[in-house]
Amino acid sequence: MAEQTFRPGEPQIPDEALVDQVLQGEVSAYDWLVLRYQERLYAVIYHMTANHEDTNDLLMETFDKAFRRLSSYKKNSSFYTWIYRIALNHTVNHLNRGRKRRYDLSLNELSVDEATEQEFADLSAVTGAQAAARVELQNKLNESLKNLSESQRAAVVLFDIEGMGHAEIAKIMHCSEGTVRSRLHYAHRYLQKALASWLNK
Amino acid sequence: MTRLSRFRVILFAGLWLVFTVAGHAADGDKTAVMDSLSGEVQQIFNQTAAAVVKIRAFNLEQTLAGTGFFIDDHGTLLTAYDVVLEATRATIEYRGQQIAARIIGRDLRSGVALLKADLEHTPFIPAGNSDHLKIAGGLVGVGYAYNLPVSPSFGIITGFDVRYLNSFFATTHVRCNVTVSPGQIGGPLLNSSGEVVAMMVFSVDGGRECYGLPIKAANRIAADLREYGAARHGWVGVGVVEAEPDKPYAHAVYVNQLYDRTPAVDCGLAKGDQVIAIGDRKIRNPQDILDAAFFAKVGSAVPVRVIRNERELTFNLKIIERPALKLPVTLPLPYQAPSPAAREPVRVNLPQ
Amino acid sequence: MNEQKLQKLLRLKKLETPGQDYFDGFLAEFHRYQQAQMLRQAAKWEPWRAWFREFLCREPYRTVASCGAVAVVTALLVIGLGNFSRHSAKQSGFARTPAMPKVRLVSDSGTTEQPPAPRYSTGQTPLSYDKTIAF
Repeated sequence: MAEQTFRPGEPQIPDEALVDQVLQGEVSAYDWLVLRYQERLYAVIYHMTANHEDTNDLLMETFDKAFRRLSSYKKNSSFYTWIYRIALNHTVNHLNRGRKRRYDLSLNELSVDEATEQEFADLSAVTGAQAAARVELQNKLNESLKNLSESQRAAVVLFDIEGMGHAEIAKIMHCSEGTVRSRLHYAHRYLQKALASWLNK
Repeated sequence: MTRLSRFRVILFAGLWLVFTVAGHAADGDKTAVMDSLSGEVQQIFNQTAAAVVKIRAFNLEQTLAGTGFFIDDHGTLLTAYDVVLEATRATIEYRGQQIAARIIGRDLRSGVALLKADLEHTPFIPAGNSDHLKIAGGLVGVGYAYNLPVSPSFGIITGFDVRYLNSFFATTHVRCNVTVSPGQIGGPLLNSSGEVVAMMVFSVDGGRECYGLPIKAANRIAADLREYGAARHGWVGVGVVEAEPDKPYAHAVYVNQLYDRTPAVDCGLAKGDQVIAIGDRKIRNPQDILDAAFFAKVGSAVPVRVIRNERELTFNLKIIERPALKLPVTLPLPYQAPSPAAREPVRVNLPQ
Repeated sequence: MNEQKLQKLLRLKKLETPGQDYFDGFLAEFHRYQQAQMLRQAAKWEPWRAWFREFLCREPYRTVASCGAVAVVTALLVIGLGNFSRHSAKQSGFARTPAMPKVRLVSDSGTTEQPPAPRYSTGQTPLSYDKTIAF
């Protein structure tokens, strides 16, 4: 199991210790886990659903589910892997049930800061697209992501967006590393084709 | 009777007399020791009980219960963080009345909370010298177990620890075998002069042993809470490792990490340096490092003396504030998890 | 659209966040959510609980119920302590405070609910679980 790293400013209590405290009755210890994982789990769920409203609901349901199941958490895997798996499975179930909302969030409404502006500028230069079209490019990417199967999309979210390694992803998705690689391979091929054809229109 | 046999009779009679008297005297001594011990505990208890109060703190759905004590005559109280957690409202029971107490500040890292009740001329417990405590020193604990009236307990110091299972306290704690029942946490541990030398912060082994935070450490935090509303823990950014952690007693301590964006970076210290002193404090083991850090004042500079390649070097490091996670003020406990361990004793209603 | 450009585009998605304000308020929202869940659960079971109380507080059921409850509690304590002594053998150093089963029994007064007992402090485990020491 990898050593847990703590972000600056965080109390250095490992996840497993907090879980122990919750199970001993110190329920407020769970709040620290929520704070620790809220941004990361939000990201995973959001990139799977591309929808802020759904993500908000699913994130709360995920934390609630994890809380109720805390006593069944076995320490043979890291808490990190366990809660990511709950988040992913819960989201995929939701998507499969087809309860999507019509409302989709486009990039304009999200917080775009200077860093984004710079990266976008570089990208425009690289692809030759006009500045005004860059938002559309991103939207097209989101659309294409939705056309992937849930497992391919999850692999892309965890690998390309969240920057996880193949081994970690394999543990979260409960499959072999080879499966992860092939899912990524197919997903990338599809996305490249979809975006290339759109760009060349 | 011959002279010899008479002599023997007198000798035996005399010896018998001596032993009987000595026996009685010895018994008398035994009774006297026990009485004098009880007498001492009683005296300390009578002297201090009025300054020890029951504290109730209110979180959204839950009432938290514990003990605290006055440290000055203006109604300032010291207690443990666990007695108030993140509650915003608290009351104390003083002279039979529930009185509101304001929570001036609390510090999760040291386990201290400071309260103030709007009272004048409160009895208070003076602070003793917690630096000179010794193993087997006697301690009297005073506190409110459950819903019971204030009561004393007695024990001895069994150790000074900075390590507990796989974790570390922020500073050396006193371990003692004073029995602590739920609710007594936050109460004082007193020496034979009735001065507080530690505050009960953590009970282990089902209440059979207890950890106390030395009063010097508690007062250092209380001063911060009074002045800044929060404790400011010193931080320099040097990670150390202990040589031979499995063996008991003193070990050399070596630098093994210099954290990013701290005064440790570019200060001249290097990995592998053996730390031998921080300020005036000699470093002989990791305990000393933690204590040095605990009592360091944020904003001041501290000389760190190390041995490198058999040469002694000194580096001055500025102490910055240890980063702390900012939590929302109230952390309401949502509801009891499906199968937690309950802290209340099992209540049984027997038929009439 | 080559692999490199795709990677860059995908990496940009990392910046799609709802903003710090959302996360600052999330914990409180989550607590409200859990409390709402709890109330919903409670509302579901209330008629059953009311019936239970009414029924079992009438004699002779009350005495029978109390005796039965005592028997259950005793059994639980015995099992609980048995588990505890097995567990504590595995731990080095001090044993943790044993987990007591939480049992709410039928109160004598029947209709009036007793207020829950306060949580009596037993202190906290040390904050710092640092595996390394730093100053």
